[in-house]
Amino acid sequence: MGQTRPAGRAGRARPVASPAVLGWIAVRLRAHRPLLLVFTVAAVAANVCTTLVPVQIGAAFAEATGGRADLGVLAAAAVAAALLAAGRFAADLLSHGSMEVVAQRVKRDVRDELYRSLLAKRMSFHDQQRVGDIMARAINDARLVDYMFSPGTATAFNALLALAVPIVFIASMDAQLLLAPCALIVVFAVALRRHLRRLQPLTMRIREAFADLNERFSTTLAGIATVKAATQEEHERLAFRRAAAAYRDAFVRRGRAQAVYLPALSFAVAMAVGALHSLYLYGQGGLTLAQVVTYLGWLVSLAQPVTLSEQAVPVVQEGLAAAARMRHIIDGPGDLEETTGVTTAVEGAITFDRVTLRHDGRDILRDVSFHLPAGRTLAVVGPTGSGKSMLLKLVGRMYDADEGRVLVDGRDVRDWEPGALRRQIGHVDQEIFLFSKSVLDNIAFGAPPGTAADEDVKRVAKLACADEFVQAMEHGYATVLNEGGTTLSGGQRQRLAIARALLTDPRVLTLDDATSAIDASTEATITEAIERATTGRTTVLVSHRPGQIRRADLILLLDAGRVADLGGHDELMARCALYREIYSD
Amino acid sequence: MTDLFAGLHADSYDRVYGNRRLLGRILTYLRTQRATMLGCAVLVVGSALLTASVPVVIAQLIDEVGGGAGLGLWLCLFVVAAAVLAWVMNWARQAVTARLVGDMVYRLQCEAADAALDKDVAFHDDNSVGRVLSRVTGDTEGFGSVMTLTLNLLSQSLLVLLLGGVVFWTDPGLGLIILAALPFLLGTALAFRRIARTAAAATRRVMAKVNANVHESMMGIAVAKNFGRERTVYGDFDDVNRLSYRVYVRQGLIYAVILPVLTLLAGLVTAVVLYQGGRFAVLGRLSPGEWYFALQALGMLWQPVTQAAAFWSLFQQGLAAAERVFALIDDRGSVVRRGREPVPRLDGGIEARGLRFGYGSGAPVFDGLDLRIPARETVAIVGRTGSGKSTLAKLIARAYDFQDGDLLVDGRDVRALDLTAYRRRVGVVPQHPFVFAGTLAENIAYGRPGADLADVERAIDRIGRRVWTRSMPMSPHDRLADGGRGVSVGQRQLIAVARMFVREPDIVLLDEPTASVDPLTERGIQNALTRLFAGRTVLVIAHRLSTIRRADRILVLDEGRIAEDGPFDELLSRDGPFAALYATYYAHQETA
Repeated sequence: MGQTRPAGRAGRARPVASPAVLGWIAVRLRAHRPLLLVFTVAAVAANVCTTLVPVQIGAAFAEATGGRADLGVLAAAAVAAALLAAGRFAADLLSHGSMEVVAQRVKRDVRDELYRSLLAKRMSFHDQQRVGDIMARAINDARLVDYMFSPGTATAFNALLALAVPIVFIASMDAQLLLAPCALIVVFAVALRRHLRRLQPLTMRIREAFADLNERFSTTLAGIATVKAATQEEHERLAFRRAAAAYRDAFVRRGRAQAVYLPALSFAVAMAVGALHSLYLYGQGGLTLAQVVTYLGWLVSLAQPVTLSEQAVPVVQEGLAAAARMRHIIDGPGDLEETTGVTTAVEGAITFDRVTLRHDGRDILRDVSFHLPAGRTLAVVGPTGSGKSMLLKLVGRMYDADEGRVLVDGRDVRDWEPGALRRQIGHVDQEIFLFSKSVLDNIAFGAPPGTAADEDVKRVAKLACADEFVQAMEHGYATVLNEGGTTLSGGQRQRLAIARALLTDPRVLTLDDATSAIDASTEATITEAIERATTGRTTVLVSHRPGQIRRADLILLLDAGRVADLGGHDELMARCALYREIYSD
Repeated sequence: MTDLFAGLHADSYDRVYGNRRLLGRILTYLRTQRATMLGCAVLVVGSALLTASVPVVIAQLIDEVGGGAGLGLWLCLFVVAAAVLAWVMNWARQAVTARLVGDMVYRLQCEAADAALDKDVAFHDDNSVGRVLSRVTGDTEGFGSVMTLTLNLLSQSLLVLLLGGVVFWTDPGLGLIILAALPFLLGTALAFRRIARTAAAATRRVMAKVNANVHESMMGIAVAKNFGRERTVYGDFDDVNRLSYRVYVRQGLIYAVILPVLTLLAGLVTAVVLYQGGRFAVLGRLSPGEWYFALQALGMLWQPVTQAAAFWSLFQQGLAAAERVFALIDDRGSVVRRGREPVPRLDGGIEARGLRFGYGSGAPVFDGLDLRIPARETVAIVGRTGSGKSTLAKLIARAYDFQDGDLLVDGRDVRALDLTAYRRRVGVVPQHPFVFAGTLAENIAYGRPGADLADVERAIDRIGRRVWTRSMPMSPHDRLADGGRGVSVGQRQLIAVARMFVREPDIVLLDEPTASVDPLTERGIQNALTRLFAGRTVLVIAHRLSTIRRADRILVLDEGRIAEDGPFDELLSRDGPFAALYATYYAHQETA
């Protein structure tokens, strides 16, 4: 075993860049129709300007070789060419600018959509998710979506125009001359289609390899303290190298496949056919020399769409693959949380009615029933791993029971609007996460931004015995914490979390071992504070502190997910062997 | 413009590299690839020659069109052959480029990842996962894309030189006109460079900011949901996402201007050449074919020139990305290493003399700490929150480095010891152990590099099967989710203790290892720990009386100083700080 951590997860569903993705993107473009119109008109104008330059050249050419040689006509042609350049300049500015804005807007919008969908997904989805992979989608994939439009689609559109405009001019000169361009288009289209098909899976593979790399290293960074304590840097290094090599190999493979760009060869065919054909017509007297020159000029300009397509194709394809990955999350796995339901005030009665919860085929909770009247305190006790935390999380419907019902005020939690229900439950998790914001904002997190008064924040901080150490910090309540709040001690984090839970004055408190890391010197104060905080509120708490347990109105003893006993402290002491075993020294 | 950059400050370790230094550094990555680069150059020149020959040949075609269809046919064949050959060379070059860039990005990524792994924990406290990750993966990827473009455009510049040479050879006058336009092109490109670089640096930073935001909200999603405050989290994201939009649009618009300006310049030059060339043709100084060639060459010439000029701005993006990666690589971690003395085994005697330490710019936690822990003793550290208990453990574990004073282990300066070898001899059980994605067994084996399944089984045996299975209903081969989601803190503490049995360290540092387990399991673990502690130096941060009683000695920390030091009974009878602590806080645990 030794080198232990596998890089990826097997059996992940693969997003595919399908026509559905095109449709999905098209819908997101709808709001930007005016800008797209500006782009289209400007791009056409720019191309027309470019294409008219050979006409001026042809005119000048005819004049200079015509024998009369009027320099005025030559000058006129040159001025016209200069004006065309100026026209193109204006059109370019408009087309580039408008497409850039569209690209950035689409990126902003799809990222926003991805983020909203992530927030709306249930916890069961987030428990499974790979954070580094999600970041790859929200940041690096989103970036490729904007590349897809600018320069990708813009270039592709210009390629199409650069193809169409000379062809229109050629047709207007002599329909016979369309032979070569038509050959070009047919060969080009067939070759391009083949090319795209070959490249598609390779492109998707790059995005996946990148996400794996991102995932791999984000885990390493998140657990860096453990990595260092275990001196496993070498292992992490090797694992990173493996993931980076996989990404490189995917990159090189796609690069090699991309290099075999057969559509580019179609241009050679067109040139040869065109040159021969025009010379033949010239020989037959069907064309003048000036016409041959103009025609060949247009034909040469067909090289541009071919080159442009070579640049645009990988960018657009990568963007589509990236979009498919983003959409895979948005429309994909993981149920969305409901946004409707009862929003009335919570009284606080909590009932579990034969609740069973499973995870990975294992019963976490089995047939759990109890009733806790409003305002009372329930202590959930039991050995490590007996399902205490999950029971707490079911109260606020962080998870859905597989069987049975969880009721708040006699109403199934599934009838409540999840947000409305949770806002009335103050929860302190056994593991505290704090945001990289000020202490003040962290404590006020439960209130809508800007609505919590500073005095309230300080009041709850005092309640939670946090005021003293916060005041001692460099900038007091304005001190900005780091992500997760990891520079604080466990006890300090817990006190901030208790303050955070109390701020909104919730009817129900769920405390998951909320004082485990608080040192003995603060313990007495915090126990008192919690007692004060819980009076008048329904409280469900998990604790290993006998003092806190004993004071509960009701004690629920869990053993391997089942209710082993339920009753008051004295009752349980009298009749339950496991309880005695746990709580007697 | 200033408000646009609000919140887009550089990270503390960012530094500014001059362009020359950056380019030189980038070239060192290519140096090992000299042969490949040479091959690339040959291919580039070859395909450039071939492409350049096409207008020459067409010019010939026009001049000699009277020379019969036979000649025309030959010339056509040549055009096709040249195109095919150029394509083949192009293909080879692109394939080689892909390899070149792939290898380069790989090396850069590995170096950046190594640098991030070498940084001490203090660095990672200050720099969130999202921000560091953004450099290691995002910026290196961005740099790679720009490198691909660079290598493609290098070939274009060669083409420019070739065509330019031919134009000069045909007619120096026309050549001069084209040459006269070059300063304008270069001037424009240079003028845009600085703006482009600033914009590029801003976009890299805003990208890191979005990265950090997404990482943080995914880590804190449970809190957001618990409080029903998804909207707050969304609000933060929305601000960052909009900022990102503005920064990117600004960059995009700058680039949207560069190319049209350059194209305009080129178009004006075309007009001048059209007139002048025509005049020369009329005067007989040029043949119509030559004139035609000059115009065509100009067309072919200005396209790559404008692209190269526009690219110079684009290249700034690559430089901005590279700069960020290099800053991460070049920043030295602050754990001081004076030597690399081998550390075969430790007795574990620890001594601190005048130790000074503070987090970042904050007030010092220790301001001259003196302390002695004899080898192979179990020492409990007690004290109020903020008295420096965890910090002391972190300093001994060398997760952070002290600023002044001496820390000696077995009488040797820890800074002189090989860092990795030293850490190997030290085991840490934190309060919130990290669990990685992988099986339970893999997570336990993580305690020691090279541990196998037998080690894991033995560790579980030593903790005690009964205690273990009661708290760990899953099998050792069940997968745990990343970050320990779905595994309780108590279970994670058990895993961390099991890691210690796999690790067999000489010095064990524990931060109340049973804080989150029930009393029954706690007793089981305490018994196991007693077996683990035998013959090792142990430092345990204790909140519980049971833990304190088990220690050989107790250290009372108060405001960064040792207030008292001695065995439990002695301290209790001495009626000093510990007795006071005991009376207030621990006595009730006796009966609890």
